[in-house]
Amino acid sequence: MATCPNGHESSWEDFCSTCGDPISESAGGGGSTGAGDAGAAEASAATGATGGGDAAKSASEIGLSCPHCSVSRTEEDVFCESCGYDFASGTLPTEEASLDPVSGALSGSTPSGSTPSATNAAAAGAAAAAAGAAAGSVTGEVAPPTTPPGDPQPSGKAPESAFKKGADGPVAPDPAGATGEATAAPDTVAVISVDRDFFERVAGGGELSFPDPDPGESRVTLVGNEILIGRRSDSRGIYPEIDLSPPMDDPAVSHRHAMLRQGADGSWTLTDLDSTNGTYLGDHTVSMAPNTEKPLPLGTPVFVGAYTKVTLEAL
Amino acid sequence: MTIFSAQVFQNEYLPDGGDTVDAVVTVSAAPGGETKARQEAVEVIVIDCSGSMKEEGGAKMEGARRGTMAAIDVIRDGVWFAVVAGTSNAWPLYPQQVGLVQSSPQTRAEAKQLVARVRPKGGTAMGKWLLAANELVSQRPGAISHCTLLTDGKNQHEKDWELDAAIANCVGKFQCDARGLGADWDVDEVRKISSALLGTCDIIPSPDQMEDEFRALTEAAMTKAVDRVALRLWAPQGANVQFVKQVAPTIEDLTPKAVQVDALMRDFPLGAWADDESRDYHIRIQIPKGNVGDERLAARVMLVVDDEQVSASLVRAVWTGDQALATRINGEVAHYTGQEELADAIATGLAAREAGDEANATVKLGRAVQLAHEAGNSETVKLLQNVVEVEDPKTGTVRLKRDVAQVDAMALDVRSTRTVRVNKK
Repeated sequence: MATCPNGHESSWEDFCSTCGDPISESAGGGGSTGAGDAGAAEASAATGATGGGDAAKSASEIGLSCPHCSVSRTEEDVFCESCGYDFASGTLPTEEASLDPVSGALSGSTPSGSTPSATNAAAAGAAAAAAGAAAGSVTGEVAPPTTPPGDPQPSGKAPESAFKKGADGPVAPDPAGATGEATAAPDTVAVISVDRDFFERVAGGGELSFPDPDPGESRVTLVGNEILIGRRSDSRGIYPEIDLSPPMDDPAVSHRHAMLRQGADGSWTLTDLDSTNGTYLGDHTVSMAPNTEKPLPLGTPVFVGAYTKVTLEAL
Repeated sequence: MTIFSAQVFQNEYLPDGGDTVDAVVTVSAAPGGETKARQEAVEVIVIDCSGSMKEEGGAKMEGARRGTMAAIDVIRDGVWFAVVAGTSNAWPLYPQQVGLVQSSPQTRAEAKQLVARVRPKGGTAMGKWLLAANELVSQRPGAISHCTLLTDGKNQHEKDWELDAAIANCVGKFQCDARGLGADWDVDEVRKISSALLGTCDIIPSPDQMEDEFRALTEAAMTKAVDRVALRLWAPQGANVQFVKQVAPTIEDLTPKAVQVDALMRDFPLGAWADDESRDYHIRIQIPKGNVGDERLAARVMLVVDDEQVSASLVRAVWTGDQALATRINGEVAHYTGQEELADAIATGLAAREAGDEANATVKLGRAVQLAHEAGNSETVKLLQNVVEVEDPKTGTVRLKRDVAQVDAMALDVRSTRTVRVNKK
């Protein structure tokens, strides 16, 4: 083992492996930039009985520290005492989890199947997500922290896979012929507008006010053979194709309000999905029976919510 | 097997009282050595199937389908692969049961049939997509794992912390090249993913460019021959490693990615390498001051592959009374310092432009034109010309353009970190 002028024992023979000072005159006097790679490799191989690899290993045992904040740690530590870094999974506590020291401490060790309790659903949701992350999988069904307690969410399901499976995914059912409906060109457009007569009938004199200024007409090209009319809900994972949340913003529309379906012959039907305020077909005096599929010819207006009119037209 | 070599470019002379050492290290990989069986590889393609992919009359979704099929076509036989459909959840598209399948003419054909049936439906939650990819790659531990991720929108359907937690969970598990289609995605958000997962980020302005881009991306992923390469940096006691940046082919600050090995050594993960590529790194270290005539080792730069050290180079410091020697700037260091300033000028210039601060935007983007012109970075000059009217590239005299397409501003932003090599002037 070489010793440098400052008295450090060095695992290298060219420069001190502690302070970087040259070890001998001959090693220091090289003068040229980027002195040979081979020399350095030899130096590390020639570190006496231990050998280069063992030297590196023992050095790493001496100086264990948190890879995130560099505070020293012991081998037994599961979390960094300073920043909470999880050494096992290599993750930091999430912001939400660390707000609550209890759930923060739990975040690395909560069983992934734990059900958030009603009292701290928000913190537990974060902790469950973090625990799922640590275990290598987060379910798509973890309740977001904003979910109110008691909301009938599928959050109690044990997280198993990061994947969601089922028929309502973005994969079209196996097409009968070679040309699947996924590649079929869209042929229908929904025209969305507001209707004052409808508003006066169902909501006039109530708390709701007719949109001012008139938001005008918007058009949604219908792609696919099932088109949901409703209002978006991030917490419930509902993203209707015809979305009447802002800017359309009809507060009387249910998240899952009504479904448009296109048959093999290209014609459309309408089904009210047991919406709170009902769906009116053709004329706004009589609402449809819920969960009953009715033909919807192009040009026939559909009324939903407090003032929204949807009419299908050929593209 | 791949052979690595490293070369150091620096001016080792410091003036009396000087303490900051700059060096550029060029790391090159070349084929050679003992022939080993090719390492197992995993390719996961994640395509955005959010509702917004319906836009442009379905052209976006169709572009994504075609791009994915082109990518599938170039997956080498034997590589384990899967295609994931991303919405506000992650869905197994191919194979239909969660898992990986080995590439063969038959499995590639099956995969393409399913890709043809994918349709836009739902939201965007990229954290879930990444966790799904992670679940898949974990089935082949030890493989060189790569993920190609496509989005066309912002990460609207999960919280920021969910994405951050997912990214943190995937670090070191696979590399991810992320692409944004159109102009409705957030460059910083997507770059956060690719940067943490040691991949690249780029814009695909129009759906008809999907095929070429995805084919090229997958072909590049297929060339990777060795994974888990790290740059191990030793610096002397009392030194302060100010930064370690990859500076070619793109600028990527590796400083925050350091993993401490012992008190004086730290590793910077470099990800997977093809056996014919070369990258440059700029290192700046502050070391304890010496006296005139002293010499000290400022850094030892090693490459570590599979926990085995394969190369070592020295960065030295020599204190001198000769002002001419001490003030000389090494050509490589000067070149990359300029390229770093260029990327910074573009980022701050675009931010000022976005904020409506035209004076500042003009100054910064003008400086960027000047730097790009000096360095011979003609690609960047071209991108800058979409945003500014260049009057004189030598002096950096420019005027802001009035009608700038959003995709052009995004392309400049996302490609501002691309550099040119010093010898390619």
